[in-house]
Amino acid sequence: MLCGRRTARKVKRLNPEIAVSMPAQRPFRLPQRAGVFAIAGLVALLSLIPLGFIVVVAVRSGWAQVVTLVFRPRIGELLVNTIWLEAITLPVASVLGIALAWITERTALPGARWWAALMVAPLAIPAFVQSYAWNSVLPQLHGLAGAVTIALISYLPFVYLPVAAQLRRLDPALEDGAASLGKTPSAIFWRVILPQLRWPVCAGALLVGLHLLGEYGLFVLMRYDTFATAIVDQFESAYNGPAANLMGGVLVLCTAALIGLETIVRGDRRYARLGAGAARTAVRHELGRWSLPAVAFLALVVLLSIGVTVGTLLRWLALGGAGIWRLDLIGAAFGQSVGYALVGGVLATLAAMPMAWLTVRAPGKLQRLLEAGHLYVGALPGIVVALALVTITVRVMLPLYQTAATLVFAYILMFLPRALTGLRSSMAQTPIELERAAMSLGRRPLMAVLQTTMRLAAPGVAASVALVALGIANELTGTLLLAPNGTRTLATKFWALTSELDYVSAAPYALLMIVLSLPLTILLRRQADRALNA
Amino acid sequence: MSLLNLTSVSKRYGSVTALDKATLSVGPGTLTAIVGASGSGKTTLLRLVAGFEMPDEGSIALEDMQIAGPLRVVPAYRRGIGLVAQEGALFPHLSVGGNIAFGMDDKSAAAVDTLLEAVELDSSIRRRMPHELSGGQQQRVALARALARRPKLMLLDEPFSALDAGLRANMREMVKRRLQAEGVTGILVTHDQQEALSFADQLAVLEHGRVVQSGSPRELYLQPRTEMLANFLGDALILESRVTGGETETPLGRIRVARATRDGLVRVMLRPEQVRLVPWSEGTPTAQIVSASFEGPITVVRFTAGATTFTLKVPSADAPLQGRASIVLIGTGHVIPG
Repeated sequence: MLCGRRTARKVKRLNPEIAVSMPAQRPFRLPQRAGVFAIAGLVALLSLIPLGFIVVVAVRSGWAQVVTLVFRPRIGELLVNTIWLEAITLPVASVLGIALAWITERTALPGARWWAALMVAPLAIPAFVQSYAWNSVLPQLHGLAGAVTIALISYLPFVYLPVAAQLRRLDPALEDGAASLGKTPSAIFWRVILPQLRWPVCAGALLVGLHLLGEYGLFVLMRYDTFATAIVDQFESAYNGPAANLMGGVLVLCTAALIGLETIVRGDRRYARLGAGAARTAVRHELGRWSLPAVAFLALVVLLSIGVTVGTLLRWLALGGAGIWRLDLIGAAFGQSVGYALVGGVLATLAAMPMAWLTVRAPGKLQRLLEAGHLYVGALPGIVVALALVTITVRVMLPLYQTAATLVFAYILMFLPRALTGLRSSMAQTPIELERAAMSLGRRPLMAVLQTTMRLAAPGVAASVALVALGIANELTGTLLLAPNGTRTLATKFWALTSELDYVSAAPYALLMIVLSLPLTILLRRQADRALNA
Repeated sequence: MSLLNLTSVSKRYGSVTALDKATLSVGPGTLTAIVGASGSGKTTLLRLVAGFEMPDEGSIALEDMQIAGPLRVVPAYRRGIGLVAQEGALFPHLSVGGNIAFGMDDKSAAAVDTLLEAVELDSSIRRRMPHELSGGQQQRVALARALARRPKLMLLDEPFSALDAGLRANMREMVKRRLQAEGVTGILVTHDQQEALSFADQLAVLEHGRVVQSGSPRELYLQPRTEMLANFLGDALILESRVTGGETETPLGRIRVARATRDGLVRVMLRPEQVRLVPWSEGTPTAQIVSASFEGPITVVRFTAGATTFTLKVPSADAPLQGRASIVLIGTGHVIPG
């Protein structure tokens, strides 16, 4: 729609008297919509800061410096580490995710609903808390094996969630059709169900892969070097030298490669259900003699992904007794975490609103371009966002360096996509006719949108604020680099205590983070369902 | 004087031309129906009048004041044009009372009740939520909500299409009564020509974004300007024949045409109700019956006359079933111009 108007805009604005007699007239633009595009464009531009930073660094460094700093054995080592990590974790996570989703969604498993909830529960435990717990239980587990193990138990829900959601909405008529064509149940699984899981598996695996690239705390505790850990090391020893920045550049390239790989593997054929009407719910397969092994398998997964960590935490808490509950310190950290989380959650949601509205109401080329600008930051490792903001504030806006404002801005960038996806689907539920009805009843456009679409999207807005807030509460890397001196959030305080090997005192902070994050698991589960319906 | 004037209004979406120099004028207090196949631009026209879209070219004037065009663009919320959308578009989070009061200055229960009464609803419905209403009730509330602002012009965007057939006629009559009683000018967009013919004082037919003809329903039905129009508004028999002296000889027999028609080869349109099949008698145009299929009140008769085969819906009571019949033509044939 807008493209047509843009070309017409080149016509010079005419004097009204002349315009009457002229056949070509001032082209129309809905002024309010142009305003929304302007705001969304500004947000998209701000989102480009981290990528722009990497490009500028690469160009400014010059080829000679790039060669010396990038083409060296250390970078090769990190690259190999990263490839091993991704190459082992992603296939295993995919297979496990499919298996778990199929068992909980498609078999007559006793207590299937509870198992399904438990499969998502690890999302409430930050990956660095998992490593801390495993470190104290099984110190022998480190290096690649440790990294893969902890990554798997922490990130498996990212594959499980979309796959389970897709399994729930697959049309059983297809399976019935295959059965009537003489296919055995196992043939149906391989030839009918599995191909339809390709998209959610790829989406989930990509999310796991991106987390592997961006995660810091997990790998430090597992003593496995990745780009993220190396960048922070470099940063801490040499501040923000070109070495750290160029490593950030390599990390961005890894991210791009991973996304490219996912696009290839995923393919562009999306399996959609043809025909209208709600699908029936699928029949659950009887497990028979497989009941026990299935339950044992799930129990093992729960034990590894939740049991060990929760058990360890409880043990530390018991050991520490009342003494570790330094309520003044804990309360302060809790307050700071909640404060940052809420402010960041509200601001990120507000920043995403114009784009979400445009996506629903004014789809087109410009809208897609701006939306891509909003969404890509979600794929960038948090460390790159942090690096960019550190360098820019130090060089250009020193008064902003290590201020709460900069930290909140980093949070907004990191979690903008999270806010946008939630808002988008909840706004899409409201038909445009309501906005129009409100306008024809005398409401100004902005009021019309606020009183209809935004009012009806209120639950989605709240969910979006909560999702971002919970992400912020568990954020570690960016907070370590950007937080003003004296900032003690739950995550950074926990991190400081574990660095001093004071595992007992760290336990209450871990417990609080987990308790705070529990609602997240419910929200994410609901969102996975909705994402597929949208 | 007319209330609403559209002057060669065009609207394009990318490479698609939705409206192509459409011109239309609507008199105050009248009911106009805009008909056209889907994609003919009728919804675009409505959106332009309401102010949700702006024309690329041309202008729209309400009471001789430009509301969209090179001089001025009045935003939707200041046009004072009422709108009843396809499925009512009631605000789901507001009660019936809240919906009706949404645009009102006086939000008192009494004022809401007056409007409910006007659309023939009981005032007890005021506290209900939209999802608790039937489709017909929702449309009535939507009408009351739009009437609350006392608009001079009311736009009705296929408001009856979601209702079942019986309710539809009922609602149509109610809306017509209401608009006429309040002196509100109405524009109804519909793809149902039957609905358009029975609702409106003026009919405008859109094809490919152009207003191909507008006028009284009677005029458009009996004297359509194009073959497409002839077929769109009802069954039509289109015959090629030669005019001589105000008369023409068709395979169905001789029929008068408008006196001013010049001699020559023309296309003549007959409505099926102008063709009667009566018991055969010597020396009349003859129909050789091919088949007759019974469909309740009417019977579809296929017959040949001359060398041509025709299909005609005939009242079952006196439909010829086999053999031959005489053809009697009633009224005048309409010569399609061009």
